[in-house]
Amino acid sequence: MPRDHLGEFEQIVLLAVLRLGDDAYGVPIRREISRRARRQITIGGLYTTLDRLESKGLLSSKAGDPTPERGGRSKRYFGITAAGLRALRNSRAALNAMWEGLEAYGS
Amino acid sequence: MARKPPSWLVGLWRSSEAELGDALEEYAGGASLLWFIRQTIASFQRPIHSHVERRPIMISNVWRDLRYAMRGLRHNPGFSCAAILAIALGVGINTGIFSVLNGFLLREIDVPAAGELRSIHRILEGIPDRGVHGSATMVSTEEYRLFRDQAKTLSGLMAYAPFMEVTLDGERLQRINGDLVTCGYFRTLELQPALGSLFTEVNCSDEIESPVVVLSYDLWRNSFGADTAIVGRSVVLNRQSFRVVGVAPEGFRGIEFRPALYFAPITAQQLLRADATYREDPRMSWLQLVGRRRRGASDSAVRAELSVIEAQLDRRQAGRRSTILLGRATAFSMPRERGRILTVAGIVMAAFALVLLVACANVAKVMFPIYYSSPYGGRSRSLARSAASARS
Repeated sequence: MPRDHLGEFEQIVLLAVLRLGDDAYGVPIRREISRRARRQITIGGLYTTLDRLESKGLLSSKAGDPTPERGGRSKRYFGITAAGLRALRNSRAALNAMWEGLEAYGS
Repeated sequence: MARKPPSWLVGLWRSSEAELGDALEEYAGGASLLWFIRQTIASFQRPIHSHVERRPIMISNVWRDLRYAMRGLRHNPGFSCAAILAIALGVGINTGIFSVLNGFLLREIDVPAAGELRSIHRILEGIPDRGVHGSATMVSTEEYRLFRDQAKTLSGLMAYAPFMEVTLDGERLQRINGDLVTCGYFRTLELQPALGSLFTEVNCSDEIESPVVVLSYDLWRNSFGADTAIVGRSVVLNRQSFRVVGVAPEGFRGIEFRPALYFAPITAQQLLRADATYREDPRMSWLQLVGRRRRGASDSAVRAELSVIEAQLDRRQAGRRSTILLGRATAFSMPRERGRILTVAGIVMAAFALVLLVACANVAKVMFPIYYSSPYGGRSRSLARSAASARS
């Protein structure tokens, strides 16, 4: 198993960050996951995964400007790293390899 | 103006500022208060990451410290038991001693306006032939009468002889403790009867044909089945027949630490104990004095007046010297015995407080190495993790 093996939820979070591009902070990430993957998650649950991915070096984060509706608190913007992108590709390749020849069951 | 949840709820938030910012933004965008509360509760479950910004509020640290402490206790059950037992023993024994002291010595008597009641004691010197039944600071019947008739700074003065144990006849014989009291006893304490009446001057006269008794509420309920027809009937104490005139109010058990179950006038002393002549003996200290201050009278005024009366008594007997002691009326008010018990109890409490302090110091000494080096401790794990991330 490669060292940068990703769990399902980790893949979902990384893909959401990738899709959102420059607008990837907590609120839109949760909305994206809710809209596309139909999963309701708590803020704490999301940040647990975001922190873990960052500590693995698959994500990076930086603080944005504070806004009034956030009670003067900064947004924390996330971006995918090269290692994160590589991990996502590896995970997809592993899944595709496993599905090969089983297309009949996938539909 | 952005919609905001209550600030106290915001104050409960446990995880990072960025997460709280997200929650506030969602709330401002229309999320329900219930949703915000659920997110707040979920924030309690967030693991500690030392590299993540922390909310700079104290309550958050308290919560984490508590969780850390619980984890430590779970992982070291033997040590936890020893520490908890040592602290519980120290706290428990000190609390126990204080409760007993409070019950016996410190609490006020449970009667109306108890703050105005004063125990009156007297230290006598220079009279070797003085008899004592109870405490040497008590007074004789004659001395009580002099104080009662002359003290103007007191609105009421009564005396009682505590701990008069007698046998009560009934379906079975039982020994009960009670007080011999003067007629002003209940009046000075401002008590009203639960049944019948309390003593009047007629009951206390030497010439009465049949002696009388007031039962305590507990005795009336437990030994006489709370019989409402008890007033006027006779009960037998020490083989002497006493007519019941009333029942004392519920909860009143005399003013000494040992509960009194009956109250008889001091005129009944020789009926109950034929071999003793306490009441007639002018040199017998056997009555405890309790007075109620008149409105506006200070303690120093009361003490001065009682000292003047006491000086009259001193002049009657060569060599007699006395000092009046006045204190708030409490259970067990005898000054010498009280002083001795308080001293002993103080030393015992100080000793156990020291044991508690030593126990706490030992726990702290053992806890600190665990705090910084335990492989289980959340803090050390966080420290290790941050050190590792700093290296990579």
